[in-house]
Amino acid sequence: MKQVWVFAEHQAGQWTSVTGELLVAARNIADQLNGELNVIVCGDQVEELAATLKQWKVDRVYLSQHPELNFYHPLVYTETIVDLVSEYGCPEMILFGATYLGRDLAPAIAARLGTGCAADCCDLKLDENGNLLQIVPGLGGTIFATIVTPFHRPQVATVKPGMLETLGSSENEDKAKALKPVEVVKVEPRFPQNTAAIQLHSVKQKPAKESGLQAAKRIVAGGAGISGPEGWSLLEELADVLGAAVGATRPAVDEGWASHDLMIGQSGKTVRPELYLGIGISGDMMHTIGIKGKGTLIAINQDPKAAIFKQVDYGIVADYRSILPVLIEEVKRREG
Amino acid sequence: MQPLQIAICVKPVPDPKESTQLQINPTTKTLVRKGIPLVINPMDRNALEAGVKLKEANGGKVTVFSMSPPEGELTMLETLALGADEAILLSDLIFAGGDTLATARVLAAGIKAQGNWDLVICGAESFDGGTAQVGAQLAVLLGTPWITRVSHLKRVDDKHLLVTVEDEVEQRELLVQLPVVLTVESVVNQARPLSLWGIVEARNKKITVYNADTLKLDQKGIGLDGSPTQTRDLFAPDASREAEILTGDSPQQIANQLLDKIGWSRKGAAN
Ligand SMILES: Cc1cc2nc3c(=O)[nH]c(=O)nc-3n(C[C@H](O)[C@H](O)[C@H](O)COP(=O)(O)OP(=O)(O)OC[C@H]3O[C@@H](n4cnc5c(N)ncnc54)[C@H](O)[C@@H]3O)c2cc1C
Ligand SMILES: Nc1ncnc2c1ncn2[C@@H]1O[C@H](COP(=O)(O)O)[C@@H](O)[C@H]1O
Repeated sequence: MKQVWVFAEHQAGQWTSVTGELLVAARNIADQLNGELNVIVCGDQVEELAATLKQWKVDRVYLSQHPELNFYHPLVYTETIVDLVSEYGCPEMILFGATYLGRDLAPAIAARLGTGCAADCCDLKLDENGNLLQIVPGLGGTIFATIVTPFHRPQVATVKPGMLETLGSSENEDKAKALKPVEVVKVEPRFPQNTAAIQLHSVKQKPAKESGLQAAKRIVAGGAGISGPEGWSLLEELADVLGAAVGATRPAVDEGWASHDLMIGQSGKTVRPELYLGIGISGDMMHTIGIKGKGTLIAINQDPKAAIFKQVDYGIVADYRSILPVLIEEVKRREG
Repeated sequence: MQPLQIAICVKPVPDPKESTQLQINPTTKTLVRKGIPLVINPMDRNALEAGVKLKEANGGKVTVFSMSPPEGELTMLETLALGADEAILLSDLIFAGGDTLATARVLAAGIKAQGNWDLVICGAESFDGGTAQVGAQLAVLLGTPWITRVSHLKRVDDKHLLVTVEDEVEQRELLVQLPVVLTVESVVNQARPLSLWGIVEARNKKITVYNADTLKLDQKGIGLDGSPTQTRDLFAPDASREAEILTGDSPQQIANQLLDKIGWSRKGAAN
């Protein structure tokens, strides 16, 4: 039977958001192939978490548990998964989230198996022959390409977070209670000879503020046009009164006004806010490719010809310095 | 500390500043790059800088490897002017159109042919490919460990580097033993600008060109035909919206129009 494998990544005891997205897509693909959806879980004490996979109607979990797997070690993870492929049969595809881990691990596994890997897919489909159509951005998002791996298996791909549909939350957990538990196959991790060549020296959690952008319902984003830290404070004040998260373009990050985690776009985050307000942003595709979904998009830019005005719903042609203080006041007044 | 033999992978890419000039040929579905100058892939400048700094500290040699058409030679010259000691251009018609694995195979063959090495540094990702895959794949083919997206790097002794990487939630410091393949982010250092002296010195340095024969490469795994992935279609994304421009006599008016459009409640308006 054809197999579809997903690498299910977890951070701080929870599935990453993209894992949920992958599982929905992979279940769909497995059904179209009349195949099975099998999931790889690596980590320490993750049995309980693995049991929650049943809400995605997973057929089987390959569970590799070991205290050492708590830390992502490229060699150990790669060899453990390569072992799985030789032990349990070559799947049609192995899908990863395009997270730090996925983007590191997936190409390495593909190289070990001599197969292809498509990076940062924004969509996955099957063609009439059952090949995976992997839609990837190229040239910093200015073009898209459809990538296929016709003659090699498995087809390996990483999928950008925020691109695929996910399950509604609580309702499905209820439904899931009725589903049968997932079959769990325990597998030994593989520690290659040179494992000790990489050692964890220290770990530091990043501030939560920096990881909240992707979940934000409202985003106020700033670009090079803000032109200084005072202007940036004004933008932050607006975000504050609107209850919005702050986002940034690359120049704003390079200038040091915003941290790297706040960057939206090709090299940054993909977001799906209900409301996006871009200020002093030209509308370069490298930035706007990171804004998805059906939310309302607004831009403030003093240049009426700025490309951003072709990509948003409402525009204000003005120096942001004349609008922002007034806008902040008006929001406060309306809030009472 | 002992001198290091350092290999840097540099990809010549179409100048990002000119990327809006790139067009898709609608019939062949290929990119038309004509007339767009090639430059060092932005992050590979940082990779080169990291290598040159390590050499400046304790001696050794920095060799640049690049798989590129012959036009890449000018870019190689630039890497020599920025401090590399030698450049190896891996160039052959049959390398063309290779995907990341096919590219990594050529780079691995070039690095092996050149002899001993302690450290390979790549950029985290290329501007045009943008896959961030070549570094890890190269390491697999060379049979060494790898660390991708390094944002900070320090040599601690003859055999070890301390590197910093960040995932979505954590920042980790890793102690890695040489030989290793690293890919670096642009924040890892400030790449030096070209200097006149560097350009003068570059004239005395060597650029060697290797082809598939000199590398004794099996043609099966390289170039377009040897790539496991194929591009089936290229298309431009559609920028679908057209903004309604909000105007008014005063900033107040405009601000209020905006808030009305997004349905921001009028709770406080009566006061
Ligand atoms: C490989 C690669 C990857 C990249 N990835 C990303 C990415 O992930 N995210 C990203 O954002 N960028 C990315 N970039 C950079 C991207 O190409 C653009 O350079 C960037 O998005 C432009 O940012 P900006 O709009 O802030 O700046 P600019 O293009 O400089 O635009 C500034 C705008 O502000 C307006 N302005 C100036 N003053 C005012 C004022 N007082 N009031 C109102 N408006 C004003 C101007 O009219 C102008 O339109 C990438 C580039 C490369 C090469
Ligand atoms: N053709 C090439 N020649 C030399 N180095 C390359 C080539 N392609 C990719 N690289 C290296 O691999 C890194 C990642 O590229 P990519 O996987 O295309 O994003 C680049 O920053 C380079 O260091």
